[in-house]
Amino acid sequence: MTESLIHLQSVNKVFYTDELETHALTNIHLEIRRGEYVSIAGPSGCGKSTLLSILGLLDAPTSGQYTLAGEHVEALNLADRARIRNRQIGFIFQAFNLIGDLTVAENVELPLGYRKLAPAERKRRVEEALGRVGMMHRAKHYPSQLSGGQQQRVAVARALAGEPAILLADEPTGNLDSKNGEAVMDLLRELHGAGSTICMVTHDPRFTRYADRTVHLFDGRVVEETHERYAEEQLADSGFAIA
Amino acid sequence: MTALLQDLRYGVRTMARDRAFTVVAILTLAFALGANTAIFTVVNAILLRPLPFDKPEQILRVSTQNTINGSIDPVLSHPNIEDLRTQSRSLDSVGVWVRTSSFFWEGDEPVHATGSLLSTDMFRVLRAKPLLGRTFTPADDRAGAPPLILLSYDTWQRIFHRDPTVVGRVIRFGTGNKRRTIVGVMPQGFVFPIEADCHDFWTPFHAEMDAVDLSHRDALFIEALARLKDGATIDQARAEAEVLGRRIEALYPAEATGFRYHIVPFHEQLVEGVRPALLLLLGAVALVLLIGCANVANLLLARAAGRRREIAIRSAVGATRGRIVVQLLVESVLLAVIAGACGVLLASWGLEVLKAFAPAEIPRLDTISLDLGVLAFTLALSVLTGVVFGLAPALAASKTNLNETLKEGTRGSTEGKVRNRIRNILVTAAIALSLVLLVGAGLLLRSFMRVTGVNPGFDFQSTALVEVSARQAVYDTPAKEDAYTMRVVDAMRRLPGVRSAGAVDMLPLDRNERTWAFQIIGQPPPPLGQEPSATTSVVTPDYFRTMSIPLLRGRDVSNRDLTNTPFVIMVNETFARRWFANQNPIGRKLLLRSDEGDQEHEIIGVVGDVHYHDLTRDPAPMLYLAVRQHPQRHMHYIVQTANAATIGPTLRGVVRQIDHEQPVLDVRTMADVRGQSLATRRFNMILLGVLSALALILAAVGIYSLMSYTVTQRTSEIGIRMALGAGTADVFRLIVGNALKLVGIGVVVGVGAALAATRLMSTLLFGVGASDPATFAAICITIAAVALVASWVPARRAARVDPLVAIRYD
Repeated sequence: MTESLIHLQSVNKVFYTDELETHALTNIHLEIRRGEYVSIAGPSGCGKSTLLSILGLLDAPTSGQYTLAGEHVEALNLADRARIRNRQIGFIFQAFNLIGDLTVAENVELPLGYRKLAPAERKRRVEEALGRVGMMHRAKHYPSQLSGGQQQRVAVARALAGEPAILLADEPTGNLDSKNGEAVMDLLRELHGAGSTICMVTHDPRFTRYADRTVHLFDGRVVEETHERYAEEQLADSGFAIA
Repeated sequence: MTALLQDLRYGVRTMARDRAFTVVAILTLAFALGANTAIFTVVNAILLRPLPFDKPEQILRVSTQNTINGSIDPVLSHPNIEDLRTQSRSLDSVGVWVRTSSFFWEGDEPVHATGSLLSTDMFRVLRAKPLLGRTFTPADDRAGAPPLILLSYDTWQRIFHRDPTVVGRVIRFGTGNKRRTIVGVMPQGFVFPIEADCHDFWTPFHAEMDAVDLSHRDALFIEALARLKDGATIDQARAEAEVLGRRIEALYPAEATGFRYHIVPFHEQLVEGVRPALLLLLGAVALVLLIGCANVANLLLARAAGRRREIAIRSAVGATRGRIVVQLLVESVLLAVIAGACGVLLASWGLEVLKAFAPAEIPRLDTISLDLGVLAFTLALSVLTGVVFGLAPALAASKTNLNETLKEGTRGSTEGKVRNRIRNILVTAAIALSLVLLVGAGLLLRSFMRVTGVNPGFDFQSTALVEVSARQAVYDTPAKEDAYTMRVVDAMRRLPGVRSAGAVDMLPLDRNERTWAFQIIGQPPPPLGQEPSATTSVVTPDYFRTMSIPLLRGRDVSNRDLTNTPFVIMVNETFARRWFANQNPIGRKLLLRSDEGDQEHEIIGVVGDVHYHDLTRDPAPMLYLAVRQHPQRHMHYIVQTANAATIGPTLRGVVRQIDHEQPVLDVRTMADVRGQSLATRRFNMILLGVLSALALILAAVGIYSLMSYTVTQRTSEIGIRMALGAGTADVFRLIVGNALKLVGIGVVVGVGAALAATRLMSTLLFGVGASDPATFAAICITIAAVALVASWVPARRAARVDPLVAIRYD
């Protein structure tokens, strides 16, 4: 049994406006182990992105407990959250979110700049990350000179460069055509195969099969969990394969 | 035309919609255009506008040039003027004047007035016509002619209450009971001499000079103007005058060795003293305008980013790039013209303040006013300004990528470098320009501090004075003048609280000077025309003690130094050092070549140096004569007291008590005298300081606007950075660092520009070099500090960005 990396216990998220109280997440229990590939699925507005924001420490739960790598993180101050985001979490966004003023290499180096790493070490990590996503030859280009698929590969490299405990991917194929989308999903699968822990939000059922497990959300609640990899393996053992 | 009107209407609507932008842009430009309008008005009135005489370009100023020491003296001797007047073929006329002062009477009350003695020819030179009556005729201007007076418009209004029958009236004039007939009134605006505040009245020169021996070629005290004949040139006049000067020098070696005429256009001579400062200020306001333009251009660029979609739609429906540029330029010119109108209002207020505080040395101050020419200048400048600050943003905005903009593309990368470059360049330029101005102001401030730190050589903090010219009608002999002087000094010495009292005829730092040539007895006589001369003052006993001027050797003049005892003289330290080096000057004798003839004087004392002419000039050699041996009518009576600031009325009372009809010319403290000597320097410093402060504020607003815009523009980027682990301090450093990087570039460029520009103002500096490192360093630090403050608020805003919101920011 691999160790638990993320543990959410009775997490609730309520958004308050002047007149309304919107329950975005209700009583969420979730556990993600090291090396696991989990996808979070559900229709628009079900709370997927809110859950991912809480997992990525971009937002805090209204109540409940959040343990990341054995540390309670639900009530950290801004500086500590920034520190943990930088060291433990790698983000892959739907809109890539590269910085246009920076080259590909500088974008990948960005999270490393917020921790005191020696320049040589930063360079090594950048090259390694770009190498892993096959974008080394584009290191000196600017994002605007790349295709969408290439930009997303750079975003993945940026997430990898910090050697995070977990990669959080928010609809990573949402802005890509199907071919590029497949390529990015293949890349994530490769990373997972190499040991990365991945948590991915998607509403596209084609891509949930890449994950070990899919957590289905509806109206802010976990309504179902399926074990794709497990099912696949079971089927494979029986001489069948998932199409 | 229809399109232009449409653009104007749309421009007005856009301005009304973006009120905050409109207000900031108009205020920025209004201050810059207002400052330009105000300073241009001054430059126009003083430097550009022709003198208020017929064909003013024909009027020339004639002075004395000494070819031996290269000096130029504004005054000439009467024989040299007469020779020029009678022998020059290119000159139509040569007029002369000597400044004077006297008293009108309103009942028993004397009213002090200043004026000048004018020769008849001066009216020919000026081609001036009277408002009432007539000017002087040749018959009026001769020895023995009946005493006449010509009034200025202001005097006619102030003293004679615009009486239309004033011509022909016989009035009491001067301190005696002499009567004088009014021959005319000059029109409003007739001011002569232009450069000095002494134009209440005019009297005929030769009639007044009846008793004065005008025959000496070395008696330089008359000022002269000449008018060229029609068709003649100044070069012809100069060539003739050169030949004539050589001839005079050859004929009169004893009195005219080294003599030449110095001839320049009157206007040029009049303004040469203020030209450098005015051009400096004109340059300064131009820089302020450039900074304002850079700021507004930046604001327009920021706004254009928000109008990209509107411009793309216009393009999509068929507008050409040129048409869009014109539309945007119409908007910017409209903005500038409105700002120009506000600037004219600001300038009209500013000019009143400026005139109120301007030093009296600035010529033609009373002619400074907003006129049609200035308004045309402001309108043209406003339109030009609108084009200058509007062009780059218009070109940038019109270059929108239609496809990208209309798709509202979400490529996922933030805005690229190129778009920011123009904005960064503009802010950097504003910083560099404001640094140039601030360095200029800083150098003037440092100069001023150095000047005020100069020890004048006398105590100016506890001394007050009353200026009196003893009534000629009553004190009409040297003995009576002497008695009057000693009586006033005695009365003042007995006043309660007065520690000491004395008197001097020529006050230090009061812009008056008398130099006498001298020869040291026992030394070989100097060659002709090369006799040394020294500034000479006449003092009472105790003058030095009253002024706290130290007696270094020998003794003070005393009441025993009378006309029937050997003549004595005191010298200052510089005189002793220059002429006696290591010898003791006490007991040595000087032959003074004064207007009283050659007189032998024995040096009895050496006193400390004072800055007699100007605090910025080294003390000159000085001679002090004993008043009891050289009685003077015009004296400054000085007391040393702890109550210098309040004793004025008491001093005036003493003068009245001794002779109730004796007018008092002025009551001041020596601190006032010192302050007056610094007025021009202070005025320049304050004016440039105000402009620099304006520039700094504009630059700070520019940095603030840019950083605010940058934060808004980079919100998404900031969110990404925070999501990737940047803390608030990292974000803060990012924004402030960005601002300081621009400031760093601006400072480097500005320092280079300032090093070049400040060389042009070296004549206005004192005790500080044009590239003074301390000033440059202080200004660089100031600008960096201001930039830090200006970027602080946007940086704090950036540090509070919610990464969750920012990442989804569009």
